[in-house]
Amino acid sequence: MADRYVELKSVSKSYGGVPALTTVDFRCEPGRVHAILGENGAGKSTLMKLLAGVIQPDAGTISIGGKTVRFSSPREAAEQGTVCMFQELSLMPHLSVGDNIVLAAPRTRMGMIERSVYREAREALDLVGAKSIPLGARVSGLSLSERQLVEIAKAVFRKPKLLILDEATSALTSELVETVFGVLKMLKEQGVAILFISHRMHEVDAIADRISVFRNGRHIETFDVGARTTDEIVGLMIGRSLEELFPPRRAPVPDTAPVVLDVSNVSWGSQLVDVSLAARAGEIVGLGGLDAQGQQQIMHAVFGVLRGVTGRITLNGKRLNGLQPPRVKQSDIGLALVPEDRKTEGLIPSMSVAQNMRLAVLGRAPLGLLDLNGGSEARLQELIERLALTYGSLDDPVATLSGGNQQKVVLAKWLVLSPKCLLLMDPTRGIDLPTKAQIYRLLTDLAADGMAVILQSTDYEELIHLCDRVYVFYHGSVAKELTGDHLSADALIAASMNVHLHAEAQA
Amino acid sequence: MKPSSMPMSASAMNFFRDHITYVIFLAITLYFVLFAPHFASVSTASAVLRITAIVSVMAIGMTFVIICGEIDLSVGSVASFSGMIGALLLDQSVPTYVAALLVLGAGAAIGAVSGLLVTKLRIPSFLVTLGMLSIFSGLALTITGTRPVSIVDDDFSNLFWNSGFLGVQAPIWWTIVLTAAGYYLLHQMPYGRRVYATGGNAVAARFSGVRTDGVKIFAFVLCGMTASLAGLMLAARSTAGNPSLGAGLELDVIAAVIIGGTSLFGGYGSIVGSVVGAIFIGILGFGLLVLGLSTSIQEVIKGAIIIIAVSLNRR
Repeated sequence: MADRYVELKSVSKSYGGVPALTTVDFRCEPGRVHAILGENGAGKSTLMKLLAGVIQPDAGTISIGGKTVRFSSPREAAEQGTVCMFQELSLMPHLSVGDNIVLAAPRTRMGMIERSVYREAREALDLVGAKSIPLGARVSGLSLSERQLVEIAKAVFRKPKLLILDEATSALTSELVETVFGVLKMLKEQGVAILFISHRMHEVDAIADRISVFRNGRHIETFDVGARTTDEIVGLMIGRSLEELFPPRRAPVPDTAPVVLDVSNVSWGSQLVDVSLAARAGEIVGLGGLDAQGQQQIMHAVFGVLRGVTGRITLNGKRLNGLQPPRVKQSDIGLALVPEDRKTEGLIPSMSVAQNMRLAVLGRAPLGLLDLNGGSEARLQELIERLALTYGSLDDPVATLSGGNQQKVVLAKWLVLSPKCLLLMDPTRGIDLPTKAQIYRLLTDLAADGMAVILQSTDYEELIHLCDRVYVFYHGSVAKELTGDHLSADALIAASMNVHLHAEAQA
Repeated sequence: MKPSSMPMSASAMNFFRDHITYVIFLAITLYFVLFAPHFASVSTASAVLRITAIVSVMAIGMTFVIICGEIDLSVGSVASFSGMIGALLLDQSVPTYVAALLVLGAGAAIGAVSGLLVTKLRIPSFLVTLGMLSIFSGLALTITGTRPVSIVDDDFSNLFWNSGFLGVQAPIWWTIVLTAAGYYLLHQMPYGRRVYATGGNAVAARFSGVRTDGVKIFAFVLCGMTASLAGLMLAARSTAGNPSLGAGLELDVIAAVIIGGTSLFGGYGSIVGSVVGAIFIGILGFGLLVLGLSTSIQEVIKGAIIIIAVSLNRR
C-alpha cells in the first residue's frame, strides 16, 4: 500500500499572473481517503482541476502510478481512471438517469449503445443506495439529493482508480451521507485512491485517513487524522492567529443607539418564515447558519430584489417594502448591498475598474454629461486610498484584478454613496488573508462612524470576532440570536443545526 | 492618476485593440482606390455616404439594442411601414413636420412594444422581433393593398434626402447628426453606462440599482425611432412610400454593427464603429460594382468578407 498512486512534484499554476498553486509537492496512495482542507482560494479546486485534466500546470510534473502524465483534456484523465465529482452538478436534466450514467462511457456495438451497459448502471445505482431511482426517470424530476446520488453512481460506474469528490456531500442529508461514506469505504478497500474536499470537519473526521492543509496556493502540511486537534488544523488553514486577522473587539453598542434597520415578521414563500431582526447605528450584525437557510434571501428582501415579500421592513423609520434597488440606494434611504458572488452579481466584467466603481453613483449625476470630475470623484479617490486598492490602471478591465481587489471595487462602488446601512453577503469569500484583514478593519471603521453593518457570512470566525450580535438562520427563520459571551463557535454550530446546547434553552 | 486624462488614452488604446476590422476596411478601400476606375473622388465618397446613410442611421439605434445583449430583426419592415404611413399622412395633407414626428412616434411605439414583450414577458428578443418583422412587413403591404403611395411634398423630400447644406447632402447630415447624438448618449451620458452594464452583466447591473428592463425598453425605442427615420429617408429618396423598400435591410444593419466591433452577446461596442461598419459595407458594394462585378457575385464576396472581418474581431 506504500506505493504512491498520484504524485505532484513542484507543480505551479497561475491565472493571469495571480498564482493559484506555488511549487506544490503532494501525493496520495491507493486505498486511502485523503482529505484536502483549506480556505476558499487556498488552491484546492486548482489542484483538483489539474488532476482531472481540466487545466494544465505551468511548471512541475504530475505522475500517476509512477508514469509522468500530461492530460490535455478531462477525457484523457478519465481514460487513466481519474473521475471527478465537482461541486456543481454536471447532469443533463433532460436525459434519463440511465443515459446520464452511461454518457461518460457509452460502449457501443455496431453504433448502438450496448444493453449490458444499462445493467451496470443499475448496479452502480443500487450500490450507492439509490435503489428507488428508476433508470428511466428524467433527471429534471429528481430532488437535489437524488441527483447527487446519481452523480455518485455515475462516478462509481466509471470504475475509478482516483476518485475526486469536491464538496460532493454538500447537498445530502446526514442519512445519505452515511450511505455515500459506505460506498467510499468499499471503493477504498478495492484500492481506489480518494481525494475528499469538504468544509464539514466532522465528515472529514469520519471518513478521511490523511489530511493535507493548503493555504494561499501552497501545500502546508500533511498528517494522519487524529494527529492534530481541530484548533490546530484551523490555525494551519488560516496561517496566523485569529488576533492578527481581526481588529480588536469594540465596546458594545449601547441600547440607546438608534435602530437603523428594522425587519419585522418578514416572510417570502417557504424560504423566509416570520423573520425579525434589527441593527442599530454603529453595530455589526451577523447573519449565520448553514448554507441557504434564508440568510441570503433576507438580504435580497431588504434590498428590494425579491417580489411578494410580506411583513415590515423599515430603515430609519422609512418603509422599504416594495421599493427596488434604484430607489433604496438614494441618499434619503441609503441602503447598499455587496452581493454574494462578485463575478455574477457584483461586477460587469466587460467594463473597466473605474466604470464599475462609478456604476452605482451614476444615477446621482445631473442629467446630461457624465460627471467625471465632480464631487463623487474626490470621494472615489479617497476610497481607493482607504481601501488600498492595487491596480495597474483604472481603465483596465475589472477582470484583471485579483479577487480581493475586485471585492474592494464592489465595496467602493457602494461606499461612494455613503450609505447608512451596508448589507454584505459573504464579502471575504475566496479572498487572501491580508485583504481579509483590511476589509475587517474597514467594516469596524465604518461601524465606528455610525453605519449599521449587516454581515452575512459562512465563516464562523468572522461572525464571532467581528460581530456584536449574530442571528443564526435555520430553515428560513431565525433559530437563535447570539450576543456577547454566548457568541462562540460551539453555540453557532449548535444553533446552525438547530440543536440546543444548554439545558435551559430546551423548550 | 489624473482622472481627466483617462478617457482619452483609454479610447485610443481600445480603438486599436478592438477594431482590427478597421485595418481590413482600410486595406479594401485602398484596393479599390488603386484598382477601381475613378474610385478616389469626392463624388464617389459622397455617393457612398449617401447610399450608406440609411444603414448607418439604423445601425446607430441597433447598436444600443445589441450592446444590451438583445437584437431587433424588425428594423427593415418597420422602415417600410414608416415610409408607407409617412406617405399616406402626406397624402392626407398633414403638414410635413407633423407627419414626420407622427411617424417617428410610431417607430418609438413599435420599439416600446418590442421592448415590453422582451422584458416583461421574458420572450427572447430574437423571437419577439422576428414576429414584429412579419407583422409590419405584412401591415406595410396591407394598408394600401401593396400599392405604392407617391409623395408630392417637396419639403419632405428635401428635408430627408434632396436638399444640401454647406455642400453636404441631407442624408449625410442625418448620418452626422445621429452619430453625434448616439455618441453623446452612449459614451457621454449615464444612460450609455447603464446600457453597457445591462449588456455586460444584467444581474450585477440590477444589484447596482440599474433598471435593466427600462434600459432595454428604451434601447428598443431608440432602435424603432431610427428605423422609422430611415423609412422616411427611403420614402423621400424614391418620392414614394413603397411597402417593400426596407425589406432585408435588417441583415445589413446587424452586419454593420457587428463589423463595427459590437459584441453580439452584449457589453461591448461603439456608435462610431457601427457607422464605420455601415460605410464599410457600402464601400464594398460600390467598389465591387465599379469593378464591374455582377450584383449576384457581389453578394457572395460581401458575405465572405463580412464573415472574415467578424471572425478577426472576435472576443
